[in-house]
Amino acid sequence: MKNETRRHLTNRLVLAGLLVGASLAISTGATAAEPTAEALLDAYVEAMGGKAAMEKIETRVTHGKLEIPAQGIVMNLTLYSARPNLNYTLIESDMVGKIEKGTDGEVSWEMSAMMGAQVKEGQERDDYLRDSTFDKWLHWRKLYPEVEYAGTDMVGEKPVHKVVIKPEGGEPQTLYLDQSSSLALRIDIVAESPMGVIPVASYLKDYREIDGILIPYEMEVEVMGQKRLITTDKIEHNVALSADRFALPPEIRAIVDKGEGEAAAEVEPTSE
Amino acid sequence: MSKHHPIVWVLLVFFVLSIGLPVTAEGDESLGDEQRRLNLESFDYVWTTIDEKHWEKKPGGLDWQAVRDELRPRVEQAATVDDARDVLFEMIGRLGQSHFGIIPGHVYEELQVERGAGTTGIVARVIDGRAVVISIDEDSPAADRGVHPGWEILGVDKEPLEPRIADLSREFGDSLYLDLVLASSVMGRLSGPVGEQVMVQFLDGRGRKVKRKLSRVEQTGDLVTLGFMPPVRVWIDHRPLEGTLGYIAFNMFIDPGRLMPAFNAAMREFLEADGLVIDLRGNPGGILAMGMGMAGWLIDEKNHRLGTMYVKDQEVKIVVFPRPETYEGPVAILVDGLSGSCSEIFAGGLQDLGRARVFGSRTMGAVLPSAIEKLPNGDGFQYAFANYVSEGGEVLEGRGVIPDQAITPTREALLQGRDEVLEAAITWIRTHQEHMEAAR
Repeated sequence: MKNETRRHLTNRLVLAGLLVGASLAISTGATAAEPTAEALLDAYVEAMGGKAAMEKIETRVTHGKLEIPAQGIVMNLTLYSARPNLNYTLIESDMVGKIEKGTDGEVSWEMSAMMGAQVKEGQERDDYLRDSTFDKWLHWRKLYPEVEYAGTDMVGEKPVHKVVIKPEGGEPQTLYLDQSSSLALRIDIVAESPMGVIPVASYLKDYREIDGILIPYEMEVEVMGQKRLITTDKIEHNVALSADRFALPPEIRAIVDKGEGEAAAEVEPTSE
Repeated sequence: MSKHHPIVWVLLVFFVLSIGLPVTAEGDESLGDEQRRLNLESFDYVWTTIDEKHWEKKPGGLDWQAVRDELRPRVEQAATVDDARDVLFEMIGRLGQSHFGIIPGHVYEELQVERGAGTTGIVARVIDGRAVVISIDEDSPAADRGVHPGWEILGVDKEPLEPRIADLSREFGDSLYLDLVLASSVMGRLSGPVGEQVMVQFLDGRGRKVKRKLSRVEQTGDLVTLGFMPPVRVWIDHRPLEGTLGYIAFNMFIDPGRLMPAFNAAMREFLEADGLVIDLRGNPGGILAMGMGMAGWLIDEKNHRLGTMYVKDQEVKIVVFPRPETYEGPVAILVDGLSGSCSEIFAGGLQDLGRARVFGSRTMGAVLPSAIEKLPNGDGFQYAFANYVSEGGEVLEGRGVIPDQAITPTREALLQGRDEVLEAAITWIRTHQEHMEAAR
């Protein structure tokens, strides 16, 4: 890590601590020791590197692996993301072939030989678009209108503050923020899809600095009693991505056009 | 990774449903301290996994803690690897549920070395207490040596089959696994190391006893490894039937990277067919998502399900995601007593939805979603973590899919080169077609 960057991040972590400290100082009475959710989320953003560092990044390409360790299954994972909320995810392996998912900022879609081409709808679409927001946590005030402090807990051996955040129309999520570093160590969400409402707990580990931002290089995910591991091998910032990278694939475009055609036909007045 | 939600969807679908492979225990060497420790760790791993992940508060209706208290000392005292493994077999056997199994570590090594057991090309089932050839792989040693469907297999390498079939029939007489056990017994004797030969005694179509020395060759299909599941051969076949019908068969719901594109290509080819036959006879299951994806070719409306999985404290709907183009004609699904797991969910789900008619014999009744993990001692451990209820409200575990039209193949028809189950499906499709045309 370069000295300048290290100084920058050290300053950010100090500032993050000050933000939480300030919230404690202005609290009164019985809640004197209780930080506010807002201050903790601001501190989280600062701890990751802060607004200025984040806004220097326009695109991100993440190369990694998605594993089911207990079952010996490993797949390659590549995520492309860009401002404001463009995303394309590619999972590949000899075993599963190619699985793609993405958004052009409006349409959320998924495609694989296994499940075919699908355009997401409803809450599933809304959740995906929100989660595709570049620098999501920088925009927490807009994305999560309701935030609430939910006390303390432990993640492993580390004491954490819990913050419950609620997106408009979506299910609440819980962030477990390290009392020492202000970084998120665990995030609980509820994944909503046609398959049902399924709780997912993600443990964020191995934070590393890249271009002035701290990013977890390892994430352990628990879903339906099964563990999954997502590891990052390499992150590239401000890579020039072609306009086609986030364009809808022809199969998805066909579904969207067909849907729009059907919707138009439904509202077209009859000529009796 | 700063964004986690976009990949959560993938995490939900990779659950293996395949039935455990029939394997035998091996390893009578005495135990050192290290092996004893690994066996105890493996016992604890199995017990804890079931304790934490079984969907019933009392797994299998058992006092699970009492099971541990009773059996763990026996692992501590086990004199050999086999003895320790037997205790694990006993523990999971007490659950009385499918998809719980121990795969001895040596099985992985043997299958890796041999690249799968060799085959003579004969596919056999036991019909009315007799081992009968029901089909023969093209260009196989059995085909080359003139073996025909319908021939009865009297013995393998001088060992008569009848006594073993009689024993197993008595032992498993009331079990839905009877067909599987009997077929596995016969097929297990026919298979063996690639390159070796086996002498098979038959009763041919004219009632004569004949012998054929058959080589064992590589099985049909691609050798596929899925995580800690032992390697398996996977194949898919599709062809037009009677000019205007489509026929698709595949032996497992595994290898989505290769099998799904082939299935999808077949569906595109058959989109305008008068009828479609999907042959799942002998198919023991595989990856649930593949069944969901295949069903998407047959259902044109959203929000239909093949059933529901009940995991501890939550439920997961087995949803069908319609493809942009779907097949609208009549669908017949062929099953038998060796159709298990994902095959049953696929067939039973489409049957419940009124989208397919099922032909053949009752399926295995082994539908629990499961995962396969490696134990500290190197053995594989398959465990079910959810119950499954069909869209029609049936718990298929232990019940199986009951065909709309029950048909058991006969030796006589096989000798005539006929496939009665397929014939019934074609007859139904043609009749259905006539009704549709009359209605129009």
